[in-house]
Amino acid sequence: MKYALFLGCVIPAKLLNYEISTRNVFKELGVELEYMNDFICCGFPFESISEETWLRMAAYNLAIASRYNLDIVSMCNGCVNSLIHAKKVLEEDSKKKEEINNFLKENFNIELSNIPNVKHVIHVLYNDIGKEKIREKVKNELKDFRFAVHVGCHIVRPSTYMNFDNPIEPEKLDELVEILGAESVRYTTKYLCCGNYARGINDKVSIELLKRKMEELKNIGVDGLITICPACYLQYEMGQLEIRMKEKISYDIPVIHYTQILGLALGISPKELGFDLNKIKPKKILEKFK
Amino acid sequence: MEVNVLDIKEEVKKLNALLCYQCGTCTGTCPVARIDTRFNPRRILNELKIKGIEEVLKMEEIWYCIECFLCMEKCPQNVKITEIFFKLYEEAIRRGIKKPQKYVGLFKAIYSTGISTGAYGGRGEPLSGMILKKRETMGLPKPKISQDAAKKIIESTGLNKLLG
Repeated sequence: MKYALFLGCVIPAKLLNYEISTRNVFKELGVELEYMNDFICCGFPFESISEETWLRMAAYNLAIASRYNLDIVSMCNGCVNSLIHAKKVLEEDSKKKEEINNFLKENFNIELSNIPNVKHVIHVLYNDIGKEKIREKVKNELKDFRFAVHVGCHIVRPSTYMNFDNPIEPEKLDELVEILGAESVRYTTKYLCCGNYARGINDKVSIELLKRKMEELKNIGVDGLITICPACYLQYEMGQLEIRMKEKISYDIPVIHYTQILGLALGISPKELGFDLNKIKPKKILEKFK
Repeated sequence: MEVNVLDIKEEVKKLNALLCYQCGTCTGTCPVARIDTRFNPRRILNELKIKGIEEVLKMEEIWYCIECFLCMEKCPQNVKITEIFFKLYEEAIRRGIKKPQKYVGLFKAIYSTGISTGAYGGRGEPLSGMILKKRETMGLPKPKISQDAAKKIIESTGLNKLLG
């Protein structure tokens, strides 16, 4: 099993714990990764303000990726959403595809013929490897751990092209947590958007969305909030630090990438999973796996 | 390459804007609306019909959508609500009605470096020497980014003239 890794923007700069844990987990599960070179931003930030810029940027990346003759994998909900959407648009609209192809040929001497499949790490784990196979490889049961999962919006919506899980109440990440022996707690703000995208436009809303979830998690008591998206992760981790600094309110909810707890269960050390880079320390985990 | 100018009314109609029967499911499920009542997607869809696009493009609150797609998923009339907001944004920026700082920050980063590292707070900066060094000590390869390709694409659609 081998994939071309589309690294994206935020992960290689700010979330090296996500990148290193994904690499080491995949290695342990026998999945090979080849870093995709010559990429650019997936286009996601422009999808809402300049459709053509978004599509050209996404298509550029898909054309570069097709050189590898591999499915693409990414760790980011935004990148995966953008590239899957672009693939669908281009495959369903041959006129548009031809237009984009002419643009790519003229400017970069590349073209789209067979557009590769685009997958999120979670797709690879759930669909390609499968729960049973992962379960067989678990060396450390994460018994006594209570986690809250946060899947994020763009991995499941719009379901017209992100058809992976229930688009309103997704549950596959819960299953992936539970096969490690841990509990995935049910909570009322579980499906609430992280609010990252309100930043810079309506900061009050962003902070309030964050607080509602943090308050509930503080009340019910969890060992960590499990995410699979860099934007959600940063919103919850940096957001908590910001609130602690500005408002002197401490929630102390450790934010953890799913690949980090998966790695622990597979017997990989916290250091090899980048836990030293988690800014809100998951004390119970580090105590057990020191 | 010239990019076709949108016929905004036609575009919005194609996204089922006129099928809205004002049930309010969108506003009821919207995570923003439950905190900030200034944002009300149902009302915006109504004003699209009654006052027309010209007026709606000027409304500050259209920019409060956080693109979670929940309303669009739940809409019983299959109104592509989130995508209607996207069309409004594109048109408002194209006409110079609004130059949202969030997107200017993202644009600047991507235009000059090919990527944006600013998922939190909308800022962006290139991969610094410090980050590259940290990557190296962790055994992570140096990302190879096609900086100029992003610039060329942005210039091809003229987005640099609107946000630069």
